[in-house]
Amino acid sequence: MAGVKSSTDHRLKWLGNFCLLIFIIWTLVPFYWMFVTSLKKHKEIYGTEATLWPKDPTLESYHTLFFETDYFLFFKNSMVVALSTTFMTVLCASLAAYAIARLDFPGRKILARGMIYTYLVPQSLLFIPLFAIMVAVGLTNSLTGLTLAHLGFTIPFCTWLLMGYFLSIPKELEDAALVDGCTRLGVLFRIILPISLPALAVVAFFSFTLSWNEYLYAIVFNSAPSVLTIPTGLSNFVVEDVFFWGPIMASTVFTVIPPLVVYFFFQRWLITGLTMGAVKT
Amino acid sequence: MIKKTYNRRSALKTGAAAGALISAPMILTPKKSWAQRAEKLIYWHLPAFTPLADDAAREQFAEFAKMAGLKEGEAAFVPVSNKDLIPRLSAALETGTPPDVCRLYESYVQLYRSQGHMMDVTDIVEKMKGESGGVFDSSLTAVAYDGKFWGVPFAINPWPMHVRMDVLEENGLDYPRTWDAFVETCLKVQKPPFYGFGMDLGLTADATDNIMQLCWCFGGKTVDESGAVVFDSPENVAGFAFINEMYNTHKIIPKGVVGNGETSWNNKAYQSGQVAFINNPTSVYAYLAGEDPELMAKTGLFGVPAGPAGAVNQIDTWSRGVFSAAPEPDLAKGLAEHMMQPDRYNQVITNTNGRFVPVYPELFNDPWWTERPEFAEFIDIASSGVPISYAGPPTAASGEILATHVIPEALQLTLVEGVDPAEAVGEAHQKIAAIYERLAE
Repeated sequence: MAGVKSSTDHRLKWLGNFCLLIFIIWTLVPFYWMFVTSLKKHKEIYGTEATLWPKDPTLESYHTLFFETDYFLFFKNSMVVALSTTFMTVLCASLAAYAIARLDFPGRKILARGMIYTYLVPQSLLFIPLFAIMVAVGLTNSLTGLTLAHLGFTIPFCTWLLMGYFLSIPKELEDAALVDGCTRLGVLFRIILPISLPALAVVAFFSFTLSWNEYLYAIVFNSAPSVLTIPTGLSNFVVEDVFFWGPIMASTVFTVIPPLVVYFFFQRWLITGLTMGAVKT
Repeated sequence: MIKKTYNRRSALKTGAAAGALISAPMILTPKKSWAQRAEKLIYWHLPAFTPLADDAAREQFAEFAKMAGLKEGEAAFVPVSNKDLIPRLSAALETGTPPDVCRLYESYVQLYRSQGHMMDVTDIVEKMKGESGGVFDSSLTAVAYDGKFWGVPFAINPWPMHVRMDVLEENGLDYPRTWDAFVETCLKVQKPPFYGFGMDLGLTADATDNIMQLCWCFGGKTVDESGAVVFDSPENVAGFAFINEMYNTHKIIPKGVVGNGETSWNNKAYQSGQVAFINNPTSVYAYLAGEDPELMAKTGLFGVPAGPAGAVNQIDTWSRGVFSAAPEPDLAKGLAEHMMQPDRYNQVITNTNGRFVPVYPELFNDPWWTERPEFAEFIDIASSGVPISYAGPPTAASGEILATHVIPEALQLTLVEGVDPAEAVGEAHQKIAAIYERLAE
């Protein structure tokens, strides 16, 4: 009997490993394809034969990227906008989520629902009115304006996400701190936020990647070359109906690095944060 | 010795400090916006395929700014990618902050003119017409309305057949001059997965262009000269039926193309050597000149084959629009005029690898054109070509028909669902008529 169970376990284990292998390939192939395409010549990219490794590897696309475009400037701008958005989102969403989750004030529930409804409004409807506001307040062609626009979609969702997490923390912990003389803000910063680090990691990662990849606001709000971000700079490699895939892929290879670094840095907390919500009641 | 430990609190503190450090300078020093623009002149430049052409345009802009006495920071040359132009311009127009001058596709000149955004540039165009040899009349259709000109014709964009001459030579064939001969040629040269004709039949702008260019050769039109919608005609039905035969009976067009949603599909098909013919602007040729000279040397450029109504070639006209919101109208118009001075203009055009055809016929005498026999038919195409709105002028309505893929959508009913071509044409007619009625001026 034990032998049969062991054999079934063994088969299940192999099936699991096989599925895992499929998922790993599924995940890695796009990265691999991106990388090898960046090393191919245009002719090979457009060739009839799809080559798994470049026949004649070249760094031409990287040369184009680094020496014929302002890629480093775009990279720096993207980094500043994404990090600022992340910081402001974590700060504002924590304060908002704590207030909604713990303080009792009129309209709390409507505010909570309103937050998520705001997030559901598509960007394509918002970009013109938002641009009008940016023009009126003098924030076009600036990284500040772009950051504020990004906060418009990161804060509502992250507030909603943190709200659920904060509600799952026993209220007694706060009560004990309040009894000991801690202020409300003290409770938030000394008790709640350290406990909520996994959720904050998710919020930070979400804000960073969304801001890092954002395209529509970036092209509409900023046109001066000095404030372009990577997605807007990348579109210069599409001229009319012709795609220059080599430089596009070379740029993408470098562009995926920061989100990957952020992910690896927060990996432990991210996984905890992402899975914790699933089992909490 | 005290061992330093890292816990959640220290991680939070470090993260907060780093974030504050990065955000603070940016938040404390907001930049100036266009609303408070210091620039007296802003030009949005769409890339023209080669750095040489872009550099020439940039130099001409700088030269004009200097001549106009503009100081550093008072003139802005802003490169804008083709892909970003329309959303960016829509938002800018909505807020009254468009650039002063910008290159526009033909239907957009008419759309923005109808909305009151374009400046009357008749005086500039009249001067251009006065240059030796004048300008192609065909290029003026796109910018004319009510006896005035609302855009400065910048370049003609012909839609020739790109032809694999090496494949024809291997088979001892010449370029077919009629659509019937074209089908026969395709059948002789194709060996799937190498197909005869990379005709775009997906839901893209190129598909509308490809379909109508063939229908015109059968005598079809979208509207007549008075602007009345005449799409539901036996000629267009014959065109639809002919395409259906090419696709379903002769199978000279790759099957998957009906599911295509990408304007660049036919470019890729030709650039990757998968088809013998495509009907496309010379963006493909210009690409090959820069990236694949070997395939370029095997490529011929010809007018479309003739149908019962002859060979009707398509041209688009790119124009430079001057926006009425320009704070210094004379400066903005001065720039447009400066850049169209024939010698100066020729520097840009001849550096685009054949991507743009000059609006001045005289410039075809430049060695760049005379030394390249593949462009021999271009002067005829440029002078006799018609816009996609044929037989009417480009309008906001013709732009919407192109953007909403009404025509390929109707043709797909025949190609995929087997609907009778007459019924499909009738369906497209209803939609086209509704668009023209809604956007009537």
